[in-house]
Amino acid sequence: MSTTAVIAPYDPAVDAPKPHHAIYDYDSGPPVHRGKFAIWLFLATEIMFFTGLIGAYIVLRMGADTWPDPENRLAVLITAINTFILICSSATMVKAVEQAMLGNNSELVKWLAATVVIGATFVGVQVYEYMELIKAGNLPNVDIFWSTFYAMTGFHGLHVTVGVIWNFVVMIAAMRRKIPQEKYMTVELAGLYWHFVDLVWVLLFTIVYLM
Amino acid sequence: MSHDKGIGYSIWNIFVALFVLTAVEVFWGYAFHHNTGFMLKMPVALYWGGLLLMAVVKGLLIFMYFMHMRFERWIVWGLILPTPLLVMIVLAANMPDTSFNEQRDHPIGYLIDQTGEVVNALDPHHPAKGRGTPHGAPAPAAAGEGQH
Repeated sequence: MSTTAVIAPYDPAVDAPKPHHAIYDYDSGPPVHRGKFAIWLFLATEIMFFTGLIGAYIVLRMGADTWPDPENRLAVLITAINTFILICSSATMVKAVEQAMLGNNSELVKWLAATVVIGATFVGVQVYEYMELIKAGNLPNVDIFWSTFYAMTGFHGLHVTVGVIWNFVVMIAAMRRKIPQEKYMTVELAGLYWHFVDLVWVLLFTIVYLM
Repeated sequence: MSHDKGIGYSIWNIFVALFVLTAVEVFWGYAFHHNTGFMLKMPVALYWGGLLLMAVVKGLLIFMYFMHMRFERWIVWGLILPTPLLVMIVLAANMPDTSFNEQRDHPIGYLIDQTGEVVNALDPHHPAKGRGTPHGAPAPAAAGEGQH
């Protein structure tokens, strides 16, 4: 009597080589988009950076016998208008993110362009303010008021400049149709940074120019 | 997550609120300044408190809506919340040696001028731009300059 060997078909669930680590049936990454997690981690360091600068200003001001009234040294009204300008750019950025989520590329480009132009205007006004102050001899080494003023507003201006460049690069990508609807997060991450810069300015304007 | 009315808020409402609050802040700064206010010279604590309150409300509007933290998950809150707290602890630890230290050789705001004398660079009413005694008699003040 002869016997016939029966060979079972290959079943990957049974026959595939077993890995040396556990296999999860869920995403083991952070419970938010990885890019968003990364940008918030970066913004956490930025919060510490600006809190440190503002905190140093408060510590020094509390320790000084006298402190000049900012109204007598700074152009408060021009800077108030500049604050409006930055708030406008935050609103246009929100619209850009919204259009990216809807997959409306032409509107996305339009709102990003508006954000870039308005952001660059803010930087331009700040550069003008610096030029006028320096022309009047108000350099950072004159006294501690000017040292802290230039440190805080200078680093913020640098951040705005980086934000303008970032938004410009995203706008170029959108113009080349490299940001389809499913990649809206590219715009959202730039937007989070931009809103953070706006948020810092809102606090800086009050503390440096009005108090 | 969306940015417009679909999820319960309009960005234009937030925008108008930020716009109005900034205008009120500037008006507050001119009208109620503790030295130069044209409507009322408020006590410093009230003047500063009002300004800070408005700034914090504006910051929260941007943080909660434009940065959509209102719709974020716990992990993002967990990343953000400790950071300002940590920096404030470091600053508070620093204050006894800076803000409240009466033993400094050269107090905050004072510079050594070309003659080697210590002068208060922040006080324009002293002779030689604020030459005076550190932590001594209060500096003369006029029109808000040289005041806290």
